[in-house]
Amino acid sequence: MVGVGGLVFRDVSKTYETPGGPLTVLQDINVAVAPNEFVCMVGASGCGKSTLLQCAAGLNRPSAGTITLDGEPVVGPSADRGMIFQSYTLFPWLTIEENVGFGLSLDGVSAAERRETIDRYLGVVGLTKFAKAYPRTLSGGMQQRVAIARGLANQPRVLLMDEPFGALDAQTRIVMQDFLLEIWRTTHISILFVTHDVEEAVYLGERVYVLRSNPGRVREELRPDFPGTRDHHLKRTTAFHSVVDDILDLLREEASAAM
Amino acid sequence: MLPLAVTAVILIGWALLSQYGKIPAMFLPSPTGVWHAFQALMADNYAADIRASITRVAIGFVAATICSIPVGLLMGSFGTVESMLAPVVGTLRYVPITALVPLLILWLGIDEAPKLAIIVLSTFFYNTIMIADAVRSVPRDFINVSYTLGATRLQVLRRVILPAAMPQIVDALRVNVAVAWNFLFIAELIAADSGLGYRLMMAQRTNASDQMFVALIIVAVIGFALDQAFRLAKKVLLPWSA
Repeated sequence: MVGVGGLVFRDVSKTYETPGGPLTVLQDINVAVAPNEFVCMVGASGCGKSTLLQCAAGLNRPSAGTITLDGEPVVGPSADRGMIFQSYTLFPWLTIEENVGFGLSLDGVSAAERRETIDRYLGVVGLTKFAKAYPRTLSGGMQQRVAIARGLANQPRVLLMDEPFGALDAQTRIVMQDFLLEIWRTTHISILFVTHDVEEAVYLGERVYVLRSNPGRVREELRPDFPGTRDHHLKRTTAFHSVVDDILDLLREEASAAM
Repeated sequence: MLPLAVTAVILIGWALLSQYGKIPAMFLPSPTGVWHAFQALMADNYAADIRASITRVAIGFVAATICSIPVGLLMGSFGTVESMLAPVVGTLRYVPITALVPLLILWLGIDEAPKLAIIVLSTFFYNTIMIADAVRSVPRDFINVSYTLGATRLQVLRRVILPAAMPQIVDALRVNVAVAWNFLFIAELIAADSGLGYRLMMAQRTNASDQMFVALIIVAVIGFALDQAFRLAKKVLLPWSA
């Protein structure tokens, strides 16, 4: 898996036609995710970050510019680019294992091979004993772990995450952040992670893009460099908070200018 | 337990009213009178009429359902199909099916065909519109996530939209099968030589209110059984939807 999953946005803009005239939500976005890299994108609501992810997933089309994955242009949705949503998207009519195997069952992977992959990723997310359960019996955090397993089981080249922990309570969110870092360290899949939570972005991302709103543009690119492996102790260090505060200052300027 | 108690109270109230209420039996027969009428009708091959009515509803409703599921699915899923069909389906829904009866008899004669046509027409539009609604209420993110997992349009339709909408579709069918019964009676009252509606009309000619009650009770029992059957089917086939 080394060397795949390079996602590049080149001069990407998105404009919607509205009755009040054209509305630009994204303007000249130049952003890149290197293979195996964990990149976060942070910005206030309305900065177009979800639209940007949807364009990368192929669920939406940019009005201008190009998006490429490992040099190939993105033209529509495909299993190459997995996406995790904020809302719970497990299919309630399928069991946990059937949900995890959904993507594989679509292109006729043999039952035996599917079985093996499902077991592996249920193990990765630590939910093996819930294989036969239905989603509604699981907590929100568990459901998002299954959604991540379902995304990973497809072996996409890049994982697009749209505020995946936004609906979870604070404690679960912290656990899920560590869980995601752990997954990334074991699989080394490229991740583009969108959030409005600055701490979350700084904690998770090797690189962080700060977006400004109306229209959405890249305001700043940071490479928070913390020594050692990231774990929850990091959130108590001064170095961590100084990066978070810098970003909050940028966003505050932005917000007060908009008021 | 409670439904049984309510039924018992109604039966007792009815018995008391017919016994002591000074209402002529021609207007309100007693429960035992109705029971005797039922036995007399059964001796007169009433079972064949019950069968005839059930068969008409079954054929008509199944045909309407088979047609309305794909049309409703497509209408709910694709904007182009919706904008093509919505004016037609939406407008035809306001034409009382009863107003079509003379035309249907002219076109199809007075055999089984016009009766089935009335049932099919009366339920097809309601089914289609309700199924299209069910499809539209499938969460957008279910569809989006399926595409990012590599699903094609057809796979999204078959493996995501259809199962996601299924509980609401079953509910729509459960409600609309009652509509089918309604129109069965209209069909059989107008022109028939068999069926519960036909027998009801025969009863009217002789003011046999006990026989009318028999027909009403049988329809109520069948309707209740169907309703329970749909609920049970939903529980068994869609256990996740409770």
